[in-house]
Amino acid sequence: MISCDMFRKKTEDYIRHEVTNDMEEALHSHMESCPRCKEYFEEEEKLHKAFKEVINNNIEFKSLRCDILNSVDKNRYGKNPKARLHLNILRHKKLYSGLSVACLLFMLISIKGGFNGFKGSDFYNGVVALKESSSKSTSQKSIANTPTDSALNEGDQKSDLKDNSTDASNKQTDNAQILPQFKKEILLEIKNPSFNMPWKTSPNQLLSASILDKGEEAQEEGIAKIGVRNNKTGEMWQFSVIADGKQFSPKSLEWWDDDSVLLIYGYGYGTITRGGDLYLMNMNTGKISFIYSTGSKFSEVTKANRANNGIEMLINVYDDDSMSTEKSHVESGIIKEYKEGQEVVVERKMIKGN
Amino acid sequence: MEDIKGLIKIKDDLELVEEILKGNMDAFNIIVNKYELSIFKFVYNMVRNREAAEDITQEVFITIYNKLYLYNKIYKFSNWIFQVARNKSIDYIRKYKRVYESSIEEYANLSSYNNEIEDSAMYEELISTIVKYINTLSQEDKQILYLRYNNEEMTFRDISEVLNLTESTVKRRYYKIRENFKTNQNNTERRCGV
Repeated sequence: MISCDMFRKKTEDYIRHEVTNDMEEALHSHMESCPRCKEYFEEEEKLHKAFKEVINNNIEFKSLRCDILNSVDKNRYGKNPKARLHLNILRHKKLYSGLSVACLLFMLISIKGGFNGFKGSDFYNGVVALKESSSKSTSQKSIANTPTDSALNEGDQKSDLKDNSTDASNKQTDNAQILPQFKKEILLEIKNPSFNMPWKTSPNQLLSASILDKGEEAQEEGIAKIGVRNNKTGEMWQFSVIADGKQFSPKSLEWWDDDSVLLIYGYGYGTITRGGDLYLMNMNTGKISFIYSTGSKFSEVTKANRANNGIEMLINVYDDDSMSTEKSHVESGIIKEYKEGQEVVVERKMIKGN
Repeated sequence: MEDIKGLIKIKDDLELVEEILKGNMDAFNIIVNKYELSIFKFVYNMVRNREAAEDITQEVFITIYNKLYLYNKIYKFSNWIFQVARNKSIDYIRKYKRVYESSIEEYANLSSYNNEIEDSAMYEELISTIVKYINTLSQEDKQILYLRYNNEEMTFRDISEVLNLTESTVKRRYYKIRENFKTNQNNTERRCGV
């Protein structure tokens, strides 16, 4: 048996036939035995019918079926492969979009990787270098109109201001970006190396430095070390080149100030090489700063000295690609004022021909 | 019981949907035939403009057809159609910034009530009272009433899905609408000395 409260709660469901058969029977039985609930049910049923009639009033309505069917693309769905593919794409639009973006990214990365693989890092570094050493290339431009550099260009040997400066920039970048690295080693035993260029002493006489393992002019083949000696304490240490595959070697050094030397650093092997690029190197810490590179494999700095606040250089220039000593000349390179870390402007002049 | 009825309907509609996706236009024809009147009335109830209601109804079915691949089968198909219809109607109302408020005349003109008890003056009076009362309701309350009493006989859960409300909110508002009506009706009868 159900209560009157339960009956009234379930009346609407009962009217809508939304109760189970058992409940329907129970509600019916209750109604038959309870006049008040029966009256309540009849009122509710009448109300329900009235609401339903108002809501579902017979609005005049002409079917829109034909218009609708004529307005849709009947071939949108179907069993044929084209329709199925279309549906598949529609259904997985987001997935396909994501995959497309991923493929595109992958291709872009691959292309970039391919470039690096073909051109090597030089290509990329060159671009960076152009940005970083724009003022260096400016300095090259300033001297490119000298007759000497006209003969220095690779290929057809015809000088071209633009090519020359670009070439210089790229070369400088290599050196500017990838500075030589040295390992400092304290020497326990104090000895005077017998095979070395003469010791050169710092302006304050405290330190002396030399290119070890090479003769007086440091022209011998091989990777040399830089030896440093503290004249006051007798301490001695050396800087060994950390191999980077280039086989470059210290070629020459001259003191710049009490701590640093002007270091010429170039190919350690080969007879056609006489110098290299110019760096500033701290003899206590081994810290290296780039100063200047000719930017061409046909010319190298062979000597560098301090001149007041600037630097005077000698630059050996091969006149053609045979790189013979007979066909070369020497130029001077003047840096009027040098400050560590700053870009330099070099004035080059022809001194003599061989 | 509500659930069983719902399941039967879902299965029928789901089969039709599958058929449409296989390219069977007859299935779409059945769907249109089955729902167009309900949708038209629902839309008309919202926009109160016959031409607009017809246009919107047409648009609803075209959208349903074009986006059928997006239909999520965990929901009842009828709920989805009504939801699309409601959204389209709201778009129309927003676009034209107007809602035709229903009037007794409109209802009277549009309706021809059940013949079974049409002789009863009291029943006519009841109909008239309901029409007046519905005119005082908010749009959302009208939609709840419509969805509850239309021929689809939606459950509270269905209505909540269509209107994006919770089931309990729909129930509470529905029973409040009914209670308020009874209260109004009693007050009217008392004033008339019935």
